[in-house]
Amino acid sequence: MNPARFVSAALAAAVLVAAVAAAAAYGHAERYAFFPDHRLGEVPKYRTTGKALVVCKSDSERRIRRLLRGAAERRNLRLLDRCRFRHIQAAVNRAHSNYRILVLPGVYREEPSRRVPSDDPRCQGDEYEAEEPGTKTYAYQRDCPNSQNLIAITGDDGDPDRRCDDKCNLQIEGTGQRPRHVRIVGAGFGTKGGAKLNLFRADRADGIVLRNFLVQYSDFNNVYVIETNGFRLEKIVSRWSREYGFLSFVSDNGVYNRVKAYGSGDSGIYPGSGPEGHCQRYGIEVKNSESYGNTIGWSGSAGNGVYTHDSSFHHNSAGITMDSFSSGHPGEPQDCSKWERNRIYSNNADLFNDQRDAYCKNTPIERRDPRRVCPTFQVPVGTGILTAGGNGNIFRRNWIYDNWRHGTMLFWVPGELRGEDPTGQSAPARTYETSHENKYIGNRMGIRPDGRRDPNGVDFWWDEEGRGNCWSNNSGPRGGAFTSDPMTLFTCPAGSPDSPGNGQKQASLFACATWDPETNTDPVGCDWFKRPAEPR
Amino acid sequence: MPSRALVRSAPRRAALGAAFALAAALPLACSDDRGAAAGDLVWTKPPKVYRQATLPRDRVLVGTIRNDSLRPVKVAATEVRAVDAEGDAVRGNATFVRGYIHPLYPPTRPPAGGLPESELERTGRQLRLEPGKTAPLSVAWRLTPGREAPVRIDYGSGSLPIPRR
Repeated sequence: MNPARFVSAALAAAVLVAAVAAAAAYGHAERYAFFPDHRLGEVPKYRTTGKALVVCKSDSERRIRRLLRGAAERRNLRLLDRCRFRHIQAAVNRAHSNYRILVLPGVYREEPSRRVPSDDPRCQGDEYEAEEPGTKTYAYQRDCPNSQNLIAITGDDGDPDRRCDDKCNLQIEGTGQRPRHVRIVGAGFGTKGGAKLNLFRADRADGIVLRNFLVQYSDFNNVYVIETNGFRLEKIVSRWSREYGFLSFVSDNGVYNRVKAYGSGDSGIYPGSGPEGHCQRYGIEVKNSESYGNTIGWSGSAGNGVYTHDSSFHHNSAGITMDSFSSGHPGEPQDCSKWERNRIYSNNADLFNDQRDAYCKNTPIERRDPRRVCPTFQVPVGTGILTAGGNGNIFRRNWIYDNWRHGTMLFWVPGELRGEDPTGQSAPARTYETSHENKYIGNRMGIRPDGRRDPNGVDFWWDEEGRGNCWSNNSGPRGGAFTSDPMTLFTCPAGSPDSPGNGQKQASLFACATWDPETNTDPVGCDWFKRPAEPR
Repeated sequence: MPSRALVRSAPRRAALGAAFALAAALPLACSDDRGAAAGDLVWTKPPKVYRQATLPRDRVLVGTIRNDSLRPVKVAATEVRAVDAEGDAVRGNATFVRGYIHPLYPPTRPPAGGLPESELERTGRQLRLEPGKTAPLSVAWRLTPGREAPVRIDYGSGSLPIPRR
């Protein structure tokens, strides 16, 4: 260990003394969750045949005749005759494994679910209280599915294996021609009557397929997948969630395909605590998707083993973040995700300005306009890709432009800050466990796909910590040079020598951690929340 | 050791700006601490004070403290302030972690009964330091034109000197 690293290690070790293992959860309190065995599952395919239940509303016929044409109209009118349910949850309750649930055009508010109180009296007692205060067990979700969720699919019958036993391989799909023809609408935020944390919750629901609808107004996640082995989220629009649009957690064998997310207080797409493939496989694929107008387009604490390609992340405050600083996320530290052929641009949404701060701080959550994003997470506004503690990630052949602060940003997070994982599914925390062996290869920086120059503030920013980080074959406008800080970077495959990093740069990050939307909206010493001027 | 090739980016204006920013962030103070600490906490070595080019009035002090008493010390970050020679607090914020960190609970969604002690400590909002142990301390403050710079860090039950340039 070199002297500088020794000193830094000693300082960081001091943190460990003060840090105590924190509750195991992610953004909101959640029970301890465990990765499924990926070998026992697979990505489900979309099916067009098989047993089906049909859901419709009283005005579905009018909508079908107004919105649809041709074969789609005829098919929907035929399905109308088979409609037996007015609410999606009612059909889920009736369904068995391998069923399809066909949802005809309409607006689904799921009133019976809304009427279930958030503290359901049927689920009181020790068996429903999970490990940490405020968290609920799987039994709670199974026995009182609509306490926290507008529509819940819970597949495990409660035996000890945490695997799906019934309601497996369900497919819930809108039958319109476009996602907006079938709308699932939550009641809103906070303690508003009928508000739910999640609009869809797929919990140990192996093989779930959700497809072709629009979902809006959750208090936490519009679509939430947890402890699920095999899922497909396809052709779904998520908008205006208080926190997340799509969130998968401790799940595997998943696909996000052609999803669109906007208006999330945290992230549009969040494959957190991702598959532990450790660079041998990618267990979740995100493709052909678009995320914009959120605080973050894509994020993942322990966003491991995700292959994201041919998608676009734009007009967020930050395009993409992955990190190793959140406690309670199995699979820390973050590692081994891959990004190819994405467009990451114009992530300069000014969501932390004084006007927005005042609105978000002074408007009771229940009375907020859900279409006005109130950030629930702090990010450096104007950043394309932020890796805050991560290893072995590959960023290849992406277009990264018009991010006014940094095209990409890579820094170290001391392992002690995340605390120990009480589920035992994370590596033991080590001070210098990140950020190593990240590869930036063949990216086009500061230039649009049409060839026009559109610079980032600085193309590549790095705190200079970590070994094996490398940059090769990246280019700027007209195939020329890119910009970076430090000005000298290391080429692949060898990459950077082991280093504790640049203390000055790292110091600039500390103050940003004190951000609080109610008590400290503009921390002194932190420039993350002021949108940079557009670079010329 | 494998050979390491270097790739140098273009000296475009943005890069030069970044380089300038880095230069501006060099420590403003790293001299010996000649002031005296009052209370249970001491610097293990003189802290450093940084300035970013983008925030010319802001300063970030980074140091490590040790509990030199025989009893545990408990301090909330909100009690830590940079104060001037008159004892007046300067606007700023403090944290007991050396790194950027995310809270477990969203800020507007704390658990019933408030944040657990463990989370307050993990996120650097609170410090409990046993005798002889050390912990990081970062304090940022904003200078006001015409007003003297702060001279010490006050943490309620004591204070730590800020080294002069």
